[in-house]
Amino acid sequence: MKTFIQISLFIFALVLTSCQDIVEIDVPAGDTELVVSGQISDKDSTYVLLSTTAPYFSEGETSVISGARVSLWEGGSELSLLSESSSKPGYYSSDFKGSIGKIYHIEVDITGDYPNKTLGTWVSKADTLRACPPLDSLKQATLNRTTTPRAFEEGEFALMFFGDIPNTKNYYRVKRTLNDSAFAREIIIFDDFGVDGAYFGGGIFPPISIFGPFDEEKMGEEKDTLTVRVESVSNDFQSFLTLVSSQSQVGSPFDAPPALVVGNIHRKENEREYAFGYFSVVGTNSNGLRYKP
Amino acid sequence: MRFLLNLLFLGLSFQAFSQNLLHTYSGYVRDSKTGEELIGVNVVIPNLGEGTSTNLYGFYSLSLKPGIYEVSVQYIGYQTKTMKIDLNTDLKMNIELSENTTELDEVTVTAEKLDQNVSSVEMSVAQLDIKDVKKMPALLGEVDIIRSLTLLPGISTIGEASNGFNVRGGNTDQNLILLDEAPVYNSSHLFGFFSIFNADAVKDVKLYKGGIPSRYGGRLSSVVDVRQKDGNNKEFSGTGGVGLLSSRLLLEGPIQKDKSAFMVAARRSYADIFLALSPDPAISENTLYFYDLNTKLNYIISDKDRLYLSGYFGRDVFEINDLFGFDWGNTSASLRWNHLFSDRLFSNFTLVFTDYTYSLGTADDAEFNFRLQSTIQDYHFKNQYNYYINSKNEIEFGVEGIYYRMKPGQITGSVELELQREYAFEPSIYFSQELELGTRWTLQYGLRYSSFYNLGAQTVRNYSNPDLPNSEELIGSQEYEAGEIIEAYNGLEGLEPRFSANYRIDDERSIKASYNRTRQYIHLISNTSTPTPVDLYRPAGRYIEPATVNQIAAGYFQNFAENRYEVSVEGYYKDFQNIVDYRNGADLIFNETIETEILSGIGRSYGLEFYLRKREGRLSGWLSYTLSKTELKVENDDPLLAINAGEWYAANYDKRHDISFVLSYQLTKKWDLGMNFTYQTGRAITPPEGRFTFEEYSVPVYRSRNSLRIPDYHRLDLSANYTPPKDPNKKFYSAWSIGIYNVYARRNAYSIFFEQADAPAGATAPSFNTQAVQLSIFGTIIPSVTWNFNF
Repeated sequence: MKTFIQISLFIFALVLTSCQDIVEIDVPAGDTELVVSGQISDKDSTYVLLSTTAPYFSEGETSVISGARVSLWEGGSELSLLSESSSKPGYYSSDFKGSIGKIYHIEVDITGDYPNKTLGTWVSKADTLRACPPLDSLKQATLNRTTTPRAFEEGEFALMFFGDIPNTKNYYRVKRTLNDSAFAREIIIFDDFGVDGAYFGGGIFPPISIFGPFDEEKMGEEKDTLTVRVESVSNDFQSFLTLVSSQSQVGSPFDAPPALVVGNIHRKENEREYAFGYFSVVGTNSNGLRYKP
Repeated sequence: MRFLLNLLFLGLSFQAFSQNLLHTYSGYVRDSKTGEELIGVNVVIPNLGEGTSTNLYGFYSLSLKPGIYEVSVQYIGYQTKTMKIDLNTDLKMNIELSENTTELDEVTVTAEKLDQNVSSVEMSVAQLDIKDVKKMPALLGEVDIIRSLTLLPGISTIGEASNGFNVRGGNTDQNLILLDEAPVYNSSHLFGFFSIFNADAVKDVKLYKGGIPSRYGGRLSSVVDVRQKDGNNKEFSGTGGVGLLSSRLLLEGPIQKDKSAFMVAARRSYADIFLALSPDPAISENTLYFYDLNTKLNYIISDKDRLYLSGYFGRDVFEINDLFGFDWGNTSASLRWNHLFSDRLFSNFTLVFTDYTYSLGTADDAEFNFRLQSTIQDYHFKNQYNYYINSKNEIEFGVEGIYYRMKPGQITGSVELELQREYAFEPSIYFSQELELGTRWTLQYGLRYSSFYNLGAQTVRNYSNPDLPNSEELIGSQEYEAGEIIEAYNGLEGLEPRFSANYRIDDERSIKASYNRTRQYIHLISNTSTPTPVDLYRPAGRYIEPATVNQIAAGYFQNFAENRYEVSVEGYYKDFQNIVDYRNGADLIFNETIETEILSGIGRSYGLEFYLRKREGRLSGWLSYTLSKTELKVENDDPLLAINAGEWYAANYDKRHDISFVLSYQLTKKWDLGMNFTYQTGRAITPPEGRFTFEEYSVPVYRSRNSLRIPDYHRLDLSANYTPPKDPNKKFYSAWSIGIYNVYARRNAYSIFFEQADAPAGATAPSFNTQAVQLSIFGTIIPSVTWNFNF
């Protein structure tokens, strides 16, 4: 019987050897198209980055578009022109900060020696700047499988105390920074479905375990500093972000089929001619925690 | 319609006229050892060239002029029985057939050969003998009926580890899978690695790809009719096995000899036991297993009445430590009552309950806990009649009703939430007649009429554009009381004509053709390459229309070498309407407004199927080849809602070439060998045409859906079965099966996906470079060993 189990274990291990191999494959090349990404918030400067699509297997960052006219609009009025950075071509910014409850969009005019499909006037879909609830505090706590919230691996975690704005449908995006370094390719989104108006960290809802465990071995003398920024985002933007995240790797048996990721940018004269990217309108708050061993 | 009614009345008039001139020879055909009724046994009168075959309950009925006849009773795998009958009055005769014993020196061919595939009007049918299936090589030694069926023409899966299967270009939700007449909503265990059918408990399985009889309805592309064993009513016996993945045991025996019997079969996998042996707690504390239980009772009340009570209960359980759990499974029960109103009128009343439930969530004792549960339940009533007018004319008719209760999602625990429950009723009536005209023509024509009612209680949302609901265009809602009709599909679209014809060129050759229209009122809401256990069916209603398909098929069938070989070539064309597809990035989990995620499209599939089989001898097996093409089309004025810019695109399960070669060789009296070889064109995937940068992401640009193919798939499996001679003094005997799956360890691609490469170690900036990655489910050779026993 023991031999039988040993053979079985060996074979079971073999079965689980599903594998991934990097392969070379030819893919078709599409037209070069416009990509617009940017953000206006109630706390930070407004920015827009103009770039183009590139062949899929091309290396590095994609080409940028310089010399465009980028304007920020509040309601039906043009508020300001964004100026292009001299050190970072294609990056346009303004010191203007948005106000809660106001509606914003951008207009982008592209002329010059760029691919035909990128030329012309493009606009973002107007969106309201939503209030973001305060991120009351970040606290350090020891978590394990018996605590609330639970943790699979015992250690020191950062807990976020945060209350949802009641009676409205809210979507939140969390951005984390550890020692001033943002987490690479991280999109964290949650909404208040079923927990409208709940406070996480009081009553039946525990605080949200937002980071951990802190890695003591790698810290040395300098203690980790965690910063968490919460953005109140629109349903469209959270859908876009979700799609960006899911489409960055599609192919397992239980994945949805590959989808075209289109945001809220379209040609001014034709709402159904889309450019890629997204100009987001967000309310935001942030807080920080310094780890104590 | 009028033509069909005229034919029906013609048949009935003829019957009335001739009733006094004919005597009826009827009864059941059973296995001599177990008393099991045998399905599809030929009962023929060779001198007249007339005959019939037993129905799904083993019943036959032949009406003939008075006289003395020689009767031949033939069934694959059984010794042909020949007898003389004196038919001066109606004669009831239950016939017992004995299994062929497999002896090497008994490879001779009996005088009568089976030509059912040529003579029967049925076409586009896939059928395997369970005994043959058990000898075939199988993944981890798990005998798998569904996987074996995919080795026949026109049936395929999207790849290894895929839930469900595809039949002639149909999606996986277009297969009606019946276990003792109870629908099965998820036919897979372990995310698609194995099917839920325990081969020990199965008596018969038949898959209709086309020419679907009118008694079946509710799905577009196929019907898989699986019949469980009734139970040995002669003596107590058992069957079982110990394999690497699971063990199984079947017990059956008489409750009252020749009167009533039981069958109970259980199977459980033990991957979790192996996981527990791991020294790593991250693995050892996980749970992963499945089990199923098949049960059946049958009771012969009298010569005219018989009861069957069947049950199935299966479950998959997957738990990650004590943090998260996930389980799913089918439950079904069916009660059937056969009643003979006369020697010519056979009836069956069926009541069915079936349930598919999945559940996932945290541990119940967690302070903040939740559990999401989703369920579909059916309650069926079916009443069917078979009227045997004479040996050339048979009528079948019946009525069926299905009441659906669907619970799309309910969250319990620290948070209580529930999506609206849905209710629906699907009544249908059907009729068909099989008529032999002269010696060459056999016709089977029928009509099914189905309708569908989406019922309250429910709050139905209204949209400014009801043809394309959008959550931003919600303009109110409407309340419906319990039982109130929300949407009715009860027009002429519910007519489903069925027609098959067989022109017999001579004893060994025939040409067949068929047409069928089928309609499907419930859709599997699934947007993944292969369905997952958390996908659930939703009913047609205000915003989701029923799907339909029209299929025509024609084929040439020939047997040669005294029916030891059969060959067939079939061609088909299918035209699909109202196929469900989804918006980009559709969110299908716990979505209250699922209608805003759904798009509707059309489809077409056509192909050619070739099948060559050697039935008998030391070397037996088959070669099958399918050449096919399946395309879908979703058009819309908005380019974001049109898939592939509104042009035709290949279905992701489309495979142009599909070849299977299956051989079995009786090496010695103790050893037999098996081999499967499969070759398939790589399935279609969507390539990126470019990429753009957003934040730190390289985002692929996908426009042309499914325009690229992954590498072709091929695999060789081998098996050897060792069966020691039986000791006549011992009831217990055992056998060993050894198998090798994926003999040459090919890393067959399941998919190729495109991803952003990780930044090199130590890099401070993200990498925007991309790469193509091939995913293979199995990367190596997989041996297996199974010990089987009987007593």
